[in-house]
Amino acid sequence: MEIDFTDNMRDSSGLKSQPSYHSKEQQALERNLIAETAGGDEKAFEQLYKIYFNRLYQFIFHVTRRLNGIEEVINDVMYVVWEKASSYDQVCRPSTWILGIAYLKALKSSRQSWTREEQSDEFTDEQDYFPDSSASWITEIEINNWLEVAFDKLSTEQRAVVEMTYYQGLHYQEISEIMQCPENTIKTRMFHARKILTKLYNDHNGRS
Amino acid sequence: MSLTDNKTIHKSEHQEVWELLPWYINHSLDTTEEHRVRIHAKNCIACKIELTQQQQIFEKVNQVNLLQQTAQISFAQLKQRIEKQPKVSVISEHDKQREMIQRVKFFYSNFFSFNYLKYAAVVAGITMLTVPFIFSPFEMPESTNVYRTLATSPEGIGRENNLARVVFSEHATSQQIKDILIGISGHIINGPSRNGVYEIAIGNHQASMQEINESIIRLQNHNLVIFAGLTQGSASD
Repeated sequence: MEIDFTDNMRDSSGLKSQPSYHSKEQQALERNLIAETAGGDEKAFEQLYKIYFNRLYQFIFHVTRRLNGIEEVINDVMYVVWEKASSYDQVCRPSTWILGIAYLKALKSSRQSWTREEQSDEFTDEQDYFPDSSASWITEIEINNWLEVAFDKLSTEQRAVVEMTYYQGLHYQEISEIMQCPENTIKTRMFHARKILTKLYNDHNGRS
Repeated sequence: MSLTDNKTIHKSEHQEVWELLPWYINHSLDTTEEHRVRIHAKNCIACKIELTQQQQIFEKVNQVNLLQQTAQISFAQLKQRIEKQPKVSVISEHDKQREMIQRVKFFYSNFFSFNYLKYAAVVAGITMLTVPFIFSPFEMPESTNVYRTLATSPEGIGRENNLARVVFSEHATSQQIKDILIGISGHIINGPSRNGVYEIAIGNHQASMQEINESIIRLQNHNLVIFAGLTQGSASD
């Protein structure tokens, strides 16, 4: 079953409707695929992998803010899924289980990258590598990529909440399960993230 | 109820709805929550503006790239990793060795971290006692200046050095196994074990290490061979 990730159906209020991977049928399919994977069915696992690849790619990118090594992290996540499929309790949504693994792997990957960067002597002197921010081309890049700039201003945890809300379409309760923290923490993180996003969005609109 | 109380309740309702707006936009709220937000947003200008703004941001951020091609390549890599993992029992022997090394490392790390001072004192005491003997004119055997190991000893290059362990694919027939072994002048010494491991001798006793290593590489490259490697303790180790 192929999933249309570009599904942009709108309801009567003009808001974007939930992506197709939230439907009950889709969840049932994923549960079956996990069960078959637990039985060693490689075909089922491959299908599950294909279903989740884009979601995981996007998710890990938004959390880690790095393109290099994403596929490696995805494979680490899906390796755990393959190995631990039999331990999936079928209680939570398949996406909660898989994204939960992905969140921890992405955090680990981020920390490793930070450590590598901290250990690197080449980039200790920021002044040499960061040009004058008043340069016109930088302003242009900022305008075109306001979202990139905005995401960089968010903390890893805030990015993860925005990602799971606006990209994955998850409920705050599910996000709290994935991030293993109280629902109010999720709402607070989203609250602060929204403030930053809105400010930069308005700045961008004002400039352009 | 005072006006202040009313205000507090109203503010709290507004705050709660305000916090729920992103999930109203992504349509993940349950019916009750969704209804609550809709009703409040109808009458609250601040929430209405915020809702419009967040909706715009939501649309901007929701740009999706299809990465099916990359997915296929990545999956092939993962499949390779999975295939490598559990099949060969010989690998578990390597794991055992690694575990043993880790245990030894753990022992030494504990030794040095916890008992260092105690043992250092004992060693120092023994050294003090042996000082008179060290300086006494003992007749020492003449040093040959040759560090001799099993590998460098003439006995080391014996029959054991041409032994290898091989695991053939489960699809390989006995005739195919025979042909493969003929190709490297090898013959079965033992096996197959319960795990499908064959012990084979490559060439004769005079076979050089180069010849043996080349035969191992040929075995490793053969599509009906899952694993091939010299047995432990052989010259290449």
